Amino acid sequence: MRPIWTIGRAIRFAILSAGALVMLAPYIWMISVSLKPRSEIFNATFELLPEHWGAVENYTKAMTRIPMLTLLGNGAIVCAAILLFQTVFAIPCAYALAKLRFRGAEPIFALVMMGLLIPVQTTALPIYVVFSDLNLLNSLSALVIPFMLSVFAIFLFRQFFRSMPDDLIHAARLDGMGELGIVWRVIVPNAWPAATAFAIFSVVAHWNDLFWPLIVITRMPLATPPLGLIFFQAAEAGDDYGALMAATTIVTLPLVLLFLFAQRRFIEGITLSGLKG
Amino acid sequence: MPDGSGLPEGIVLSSAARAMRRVEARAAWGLAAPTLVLMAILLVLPTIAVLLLSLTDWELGAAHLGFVGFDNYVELAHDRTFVTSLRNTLIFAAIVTPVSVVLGLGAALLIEAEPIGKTFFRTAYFMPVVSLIVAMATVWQYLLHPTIGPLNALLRLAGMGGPNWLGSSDTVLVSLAIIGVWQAVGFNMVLFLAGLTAIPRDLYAAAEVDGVKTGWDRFWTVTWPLLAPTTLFVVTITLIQAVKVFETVATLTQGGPSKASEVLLWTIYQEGFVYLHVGYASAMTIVFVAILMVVTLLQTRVLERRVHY
Amino acid sequence: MAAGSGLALHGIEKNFGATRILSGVTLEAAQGEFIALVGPSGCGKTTLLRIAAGLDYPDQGRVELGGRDITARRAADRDIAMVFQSYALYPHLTVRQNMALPLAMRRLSLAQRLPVIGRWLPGTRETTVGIAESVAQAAATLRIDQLLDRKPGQLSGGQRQRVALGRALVRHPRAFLMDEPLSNLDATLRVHTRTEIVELHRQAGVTTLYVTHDQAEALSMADRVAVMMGGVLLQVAPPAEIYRDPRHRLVAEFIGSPRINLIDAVVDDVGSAVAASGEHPVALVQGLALPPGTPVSIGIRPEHVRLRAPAADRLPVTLSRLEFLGSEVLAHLVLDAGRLPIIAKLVPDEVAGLTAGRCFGLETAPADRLVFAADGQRIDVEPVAGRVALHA
Repeated sequence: MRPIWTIGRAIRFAILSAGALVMLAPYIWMISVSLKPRSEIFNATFELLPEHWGAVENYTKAMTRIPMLTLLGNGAIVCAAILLFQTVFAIPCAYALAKLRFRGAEPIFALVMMGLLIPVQTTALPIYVVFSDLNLLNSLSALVIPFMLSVFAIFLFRQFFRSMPDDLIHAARLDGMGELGIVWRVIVPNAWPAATAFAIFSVVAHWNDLFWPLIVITRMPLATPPLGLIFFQAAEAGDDYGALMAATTIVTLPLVLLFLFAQRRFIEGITLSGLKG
Repeated sequence: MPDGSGLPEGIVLSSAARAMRRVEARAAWGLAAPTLVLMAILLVLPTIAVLLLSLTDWELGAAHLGFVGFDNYVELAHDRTFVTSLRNTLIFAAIVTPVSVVLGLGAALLIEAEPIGKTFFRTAYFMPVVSLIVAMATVWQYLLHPTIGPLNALLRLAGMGGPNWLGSSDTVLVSLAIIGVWQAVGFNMVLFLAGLTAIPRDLYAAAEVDGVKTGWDRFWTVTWPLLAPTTLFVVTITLIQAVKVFETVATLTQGGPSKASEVLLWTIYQEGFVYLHVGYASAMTIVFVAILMVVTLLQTRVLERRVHY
Repeated sequence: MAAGSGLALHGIEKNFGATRILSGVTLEAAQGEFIALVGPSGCGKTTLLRIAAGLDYPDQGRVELGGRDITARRAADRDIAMVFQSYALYPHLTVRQNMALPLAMRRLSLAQRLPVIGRWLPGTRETTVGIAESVAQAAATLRIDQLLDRKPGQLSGGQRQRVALGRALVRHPRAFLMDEPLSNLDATLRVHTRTEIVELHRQAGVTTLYVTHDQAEALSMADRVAVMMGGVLLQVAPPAEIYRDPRHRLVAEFIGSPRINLIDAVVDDVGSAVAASGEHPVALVQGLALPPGTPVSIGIRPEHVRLRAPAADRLPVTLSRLEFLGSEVLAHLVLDAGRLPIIAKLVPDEVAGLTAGRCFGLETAPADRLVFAADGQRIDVEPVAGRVALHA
């Protein structure tokens, strides 16, 4: 019988652990610093545990200097709204492309494929100009509207719907359902796997987005978490690391917790973003 | 039939069937219409607008818009900032891509081979991917701080001095690259893990019977060739993400010191949204998009040819 | 043929966790012998094959090849070649490269195998030429020389199978192991390839252990057939003997198509196995040295069943339908007591006048009745001289 522990295996384990440590180091330090008072941070020692607890001070500052709850709320509202619109627009169109026969199927899909090639930032300038003219800047709508269309969602759902059996739809038609009814009663309930994977991809992408919020929002109360952090950092002139780290901890927590809860789904969803590139 | 109605040539429909087709087509158009409108407004028109704007000298708020043809592009080629930005972006991508791909592959191979703690390691390596980039960038700012940061503290313990990572123009791009690699490794690892599990176990058994004994031989005989499509994919994805670098620069260096970390998206942001040179920035955007499209198309081309069995 | 100079497995035990996969399996293949290891799915035959190959290790027992103990050696160090059910061809290599790989691994050193540098090292040239010759020879034997520059993805199933055979053949190993190599081919190709494999074996003279779940395949190809069920080797014997003289009820059931008919009987006071059949019990076998009341099974192969007029000493059966198979006809009958289905294999000429619903009396020659104990073991019955054979 092969032995359980060989030299090779020990080395492998050691390397993996070292790597994991490097990967997790920022998180460990983040939490550590958020618990330290200012004096200890500037001591520049390699100590992880604080001698005196500055946690209360740091976290209070983080919550009050910037409207943390508002930020998180904005982030949540914006991501939820974007996701809602994206799926509402994408699913019927994807269904039509996948299951119905009409002249526009090929050209529209070609357009979708081209859209996948074009990065989001391409359209930023003209949309910004239009929003500026329409006085839409500095509003939550400005954050949501440009992302209501997701060609990636259309692509993804179309592929998924194509693999769904036709019989399900034929049966619904025989029952007298119109196409819209089919979408609502047959397609949507069965689209769950693709929908969750896409949801994760979309939420992570938009929760993280800095480019667009930086462009359209200049006022703190409307900021999303990334933007809020930038404002905070600018305001503190990078001095108060304790509070800054406390703020980053709070802001990073939601996604990390979600990830730890639903790991497999998460990995599926994020892997999809690779497909989008 | 080339009209997209999905019928083979020569099939003639009865009038009843044709009527059904019309109903179906109408329903399809109805379902797709909202998305089409959105596509027009949010995708097609703005893209055309960017193309056209790149040929103008327009600035936001200006009353006058003048067509200048390709002057913007010519100016870009001589624009020191833009050229630096282009170079920095490419250097950044050239560091981040191979390093994170190799490390991702290494991590995947190690995790795949090790039965204990697979989930823990996978989670640990994947964490950076699900964490807020801006937030983690600020953490890295602390880690890389020349005086109070733990990295330099560690180096001091070892007797070496640590440079001013983010503050010196010599090391800033490398520092950003380190952060970029840290972010990308977990993602690449997951993609490689998926590719590894797709390799049939039988091939390894056949290789063993054929005399393939060492891990080295096993890797080059079975693993690497069968990972080829995944590898190509991962390289492309990483490359594209690297060229799109923005959050870390915006948070940590804002292009400095002295343009040493100026990258494409940051330059576009500055020109277009801070200085409001919309026409000029549009030209930059077109160059940016062109680079990305070239990379994507290269991938499809290579995929067709070499990686195909 | 010296026994022990082929492939031998002694007392192999294997467990996966709490499940026992193989129990005390001992199988010895003489040098050059073709042994078919047959059994239903999940009986452990593939595990045994993998242990023989060195891809897995037994919890107990030894593996010997050519008289030497190779139990502790890994697969790459055993002089054994294997053909997999999925063929396991390297998809990125040409047929030529697929077949050359095992030779390159063994004849070229690590340095010589390096991509650019290896070519310039001393000795590489000659060895590579030698390898190319071996490959060409094997390809010619299998008639795949025109496919050498194609990749597996461009080949048909049958062609891929030949390449897999070629990759095994090219090494001239001491033993061949084959894991259901024909199961992925369609029926006609399967039958055709069977003959080819047997031919190849005859030419090469290499000890072969061939795993299959298809009993007809095993019977038609092997020198000896080993029947395995539930991790236990039930019988190892030449095909004719396995068919004629199964030592266990499970072997009798598994081998032969259509399946053997099994009739439950009980031993009476005078040592006869009596089948309950409605009004009159019928004695099927006499001279059993068993206590009264012992349950036994009587096995009768379909081709030994004769349909005669009903009689008191014949088992009463009713014809339910006839199944026409071309060269033969299967008569589906029901034994009146207990509604037991019986199948009789008849020649088309005998079928005239047989209609569904008619009753018959079952008759067989006494020698064709196989007796099995309740635990499945075969019970031999001495032919009784001078006795009037009670026919059923």
